[in-house]
Amino acid sequence: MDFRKIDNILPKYWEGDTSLNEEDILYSYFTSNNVHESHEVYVPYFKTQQSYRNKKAPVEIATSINEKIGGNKVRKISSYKKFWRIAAAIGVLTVGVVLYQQYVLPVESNSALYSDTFETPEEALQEIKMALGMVSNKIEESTIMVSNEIIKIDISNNVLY
Amino acid sequence: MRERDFNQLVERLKDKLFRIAFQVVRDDELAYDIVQEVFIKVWDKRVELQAIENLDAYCYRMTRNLSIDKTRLKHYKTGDLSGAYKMEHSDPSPQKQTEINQTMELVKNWIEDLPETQKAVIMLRDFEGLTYKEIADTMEMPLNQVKVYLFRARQVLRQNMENTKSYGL
Repeated sequence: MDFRKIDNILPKYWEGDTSLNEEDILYSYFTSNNVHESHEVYVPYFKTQQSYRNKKAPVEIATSINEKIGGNKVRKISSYKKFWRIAAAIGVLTVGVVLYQQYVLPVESNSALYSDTFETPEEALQEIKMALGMVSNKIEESTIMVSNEIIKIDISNNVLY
Repeated sequence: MRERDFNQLVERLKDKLFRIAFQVVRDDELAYDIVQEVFIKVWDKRVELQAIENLDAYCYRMTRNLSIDKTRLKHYKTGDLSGAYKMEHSDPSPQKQTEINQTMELVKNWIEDLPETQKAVIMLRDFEGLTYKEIADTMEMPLNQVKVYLFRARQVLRQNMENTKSYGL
């Protein structure tokens, strides 16, 4: 064992500046039976680490975990079943689209004509009466204006002839 | 995550997670339950977990947090850490071995006496071999803070070991 190497790593170790690789070198050295007298003071610390790492989880733990997740495993589906599932899904989707185009879309497009109108027939009647009244007034005004113009033309004709 | 990947994860982490849990709860049975619970949660969330950068660190953090939660339960009783260490005798002379064993007992006590965060950091680094980044993720603290806590903890242990050597047990 190169003791100088250990002497180089140890100060870094106590400063908390060593890599895991360097710490592995120290661990192997201090848990071996070939430790330099000047380093013996630190042996108990590394031996404590060694004895701690010997503690293992009970061997049956992996089996126990596997049993517990057993009911939760992903079920494997055969490719044959998978094909029929996909085919069925496509069939349902196609029928759905056809029905939508035939029945739902026409109703929606007609309903657009009636959107934003009146809630009750009375309101609609009232609005139509108002609109027709306005049209009637305008026609009346126009008729009077035309009549006046005709009278003016008649007067002009009488003056000329 | 496929079942095979999950089984590999269990094999790779079960001992570490068990020790991390035991370090907090000091009870083999409870640590065992915690590790099982962590792995089952990982399996249940396997689809969401694909986006996680470091699954190991995620498991360490979940184990630690779950262990802390268990210790907060009313019926929880604190045990001691003696069960965390498995002694294996090596070749040194019986006298030397006795001396090492006595100092090891002191080391365990010194670690126990460290402030909680320093203790957690030094255990994750020196005893579990986690990277600084994994410790930062597990402890949910900045990386430089991890190094500060590690430095302080190691300084205390070093000082104690050197004092013991100078002044005897």
